[in-house]
Amino acid sequence: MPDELNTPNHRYYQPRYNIALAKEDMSKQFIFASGIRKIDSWIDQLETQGILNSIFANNEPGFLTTISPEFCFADTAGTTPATIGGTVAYVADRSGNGNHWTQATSASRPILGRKPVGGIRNRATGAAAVTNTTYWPTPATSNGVTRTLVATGVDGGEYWVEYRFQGTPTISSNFLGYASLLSRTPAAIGQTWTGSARLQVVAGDASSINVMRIQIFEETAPSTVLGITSGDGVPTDGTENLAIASRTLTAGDQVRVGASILFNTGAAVDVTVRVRGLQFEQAATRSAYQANFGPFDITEAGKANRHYLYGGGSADPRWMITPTITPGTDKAQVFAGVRKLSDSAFGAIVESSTSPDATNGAFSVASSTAQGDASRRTWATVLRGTTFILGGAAIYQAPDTRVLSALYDIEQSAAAQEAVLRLNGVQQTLNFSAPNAGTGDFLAYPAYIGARAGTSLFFNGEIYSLITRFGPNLTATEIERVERYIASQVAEETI
Amino acid sequence: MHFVPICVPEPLTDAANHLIAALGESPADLLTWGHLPFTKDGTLYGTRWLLCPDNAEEALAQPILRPEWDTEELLDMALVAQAQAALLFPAEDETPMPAPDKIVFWCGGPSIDAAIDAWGLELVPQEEGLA
Repeated sequence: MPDELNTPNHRYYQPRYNIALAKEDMSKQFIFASGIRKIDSWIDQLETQGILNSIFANNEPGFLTTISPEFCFADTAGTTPATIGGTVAYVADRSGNGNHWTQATSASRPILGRKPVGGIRNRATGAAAVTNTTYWPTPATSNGVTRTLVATGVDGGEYWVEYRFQGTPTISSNFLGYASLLSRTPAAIGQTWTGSARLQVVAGDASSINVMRIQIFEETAPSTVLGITSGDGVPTDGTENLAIASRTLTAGDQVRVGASILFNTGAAVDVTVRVRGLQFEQAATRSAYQANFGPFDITEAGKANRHYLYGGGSADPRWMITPTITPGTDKAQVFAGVRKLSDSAFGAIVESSTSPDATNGAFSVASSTAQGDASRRTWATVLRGTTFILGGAAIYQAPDTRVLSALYDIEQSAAAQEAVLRLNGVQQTLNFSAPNAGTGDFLAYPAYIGARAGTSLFFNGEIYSLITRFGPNLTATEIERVERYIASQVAEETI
Repeated sequence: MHFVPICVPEPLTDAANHLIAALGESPADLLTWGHLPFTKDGTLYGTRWLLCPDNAEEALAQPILRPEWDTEELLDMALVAQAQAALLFPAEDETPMPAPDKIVFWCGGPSIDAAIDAWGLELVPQEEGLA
C-alpha cells in the first residue's frame, strides 16, 4: 500500500478544532484502507461533536446531517445502508432531535453520490465500471467484425478492458468498445477537451490493425457532430502506448470521447486489444487519473472522498422530509454545503412548511432564477413572519458550489437584519422583495429538503451537509466554525 | 444496473404510476409522476432518470403480477397492462421520441438533461421564484 500519511491533502495533515493529529502520532498499523476510514470517521465524530456541543447544547430544535454511507440508508426504517450510486430513503439526524429525513416514494429518493476532494475531472462516465455492459457493451458486431469483452481488471490503479475482435471487416472502422454517447458533456466555445487512454495489442495478429486512436467529438445538442479530432499513431507492436486527443471547441456546445480501431480491409481479423485508464477532461493534457464508475461515483487515488445527495430538478425530482419541528422561537440558522447544477428553475434546498411564501413563520433557502433572466441566477433566502420577503444575492451561475449560511431573526425590524445570507463565509448584500418580514415566531412544520412541499421547485444539484437550528443567534465565531465544518464536507473548494 | 431516462405523457400518468408501483415496494410509488413540468406540441410530460436492471426491457415485456405489498388491491392491474402496452423502447442507435400515447423508456440513453434536449421538451414557465 502507498504511504497515505504522506499524501499532503489527506485529513491527517489538516487537524481542526484542536484535534492534534500529526504524522508522528500515528502508528504505521493504520496505513491501510480500513484504518484510514476508521480514523476519518473518528475525526468526523469529534468535529461533529464539537459542533453539537456548540450549537445544540441546549437541545435546540432542528437537525444536523452529514451525507455519507454511515448516515444514509436505503429503506425508510433506516436499517439497510445505502450504496454509492443507489437511492437514499432515510438520512439520520445527528443533532439528537430525531428529525431524520425520509422519502417513501422510491423514484423520489435522492441518489447517494461520491466524488474526490477537488471535484470531478474525468467525464468518461462509467469508464472504470469495466464489468458493466452498459458502459462496455459486449458482444457487438459492426462492419463485419464482432467485438467481445474477454477480460477486465485494474493495473496501477487504472481500470482496463480487453476486447477480442473477430471477423472480416467490410469497412475498416470499428469501435474500441466504450459507450461514447454516455460521456456526452455540456461544453463551451473556446474550451479545450482532452481524451486519453493506454492502448495495447495483447494477443492475435496485430498486422490486421491499421491504427488505434482516441477521438474527441464536438457536437451541438442534441446529437449533431460538427467535427472530430483524433489522436492517431498508436503503435501496434504489443507495447502499451498512451493515446491522447485534444480539441478546442469552435462552434459546439457539447463534447464526448470515443476510442476506435481501423483494420486493414479484406483479410480476416482476430486480435485482442486492451484499453486502460480511459479519461476525458476539460484540459489541454491528461491529468491524474480518476476512476469514473458512473454518474455518481468517481474516486481518485490519494484523495479523500466526499459524499452528497443528488436531486435532478424538475427533470428528475428527488427530495426528503422531516417530522414536524416545533421551533418556539423567532430565530433560526441554516447552514448548507451545496452545489447547484442548473439555473433553469428555482430550486428549494430546505424549506419549512409547504409554502414559505404563504404560511407564516417559515423560511426557505434556495437556488434561484427567474426564467429568461440571467441576472437572477443566484442563491436566495426567503423569510415570512407575517409578511413574505425574498432576498437574492449577486450572480452565481451554475455549476456553483457554496457554503450557504442563512441567519433569521424575525424580531428585527428591517429585512437586511431579519434575513442574512452568507456565501462561503461572506455576508451578501441582498435585494429584498419587501421592507420586512413582519412579526411572530417560526411555527411548527416539517422541513422539506430539495423541494417545495414535494410537489414543485425541485433542487437540481448536490447536498453535502445541512444544518437547521432554531435557537438564539450565534456569535460570529460560532458561525465561522460551523461554516468551516460544512466546508470540510464539500468536495469542491469553498472556504 | 444503469440509469434510464423515462418520459411519461399526461394521458398515461395514472397508468405509469400503477406500473411503477407494481414494480415498487409500497403505495407511495403511486406518487411517482405527479409533476409534469415539460411540454411539447401541446402535451404535458413528466420525466425521471431511474436506476433499472440491465434486462429491464425483457422484464417489462412479461406479464406483471400484483406485488406482495398490495394486499388491499390498491393497484389497477388493467392500468398496469395499459402502461406496458404503451412502452416505447429505442431501436438501435435511435432516439425514442415522446408522444401522447407512449411511455418512452430509453434504455442505453444519456443523462436526463441530455435526454430532455434530445426529446425537445420545454419547461413550462413557473409562477414561483424571484418576481
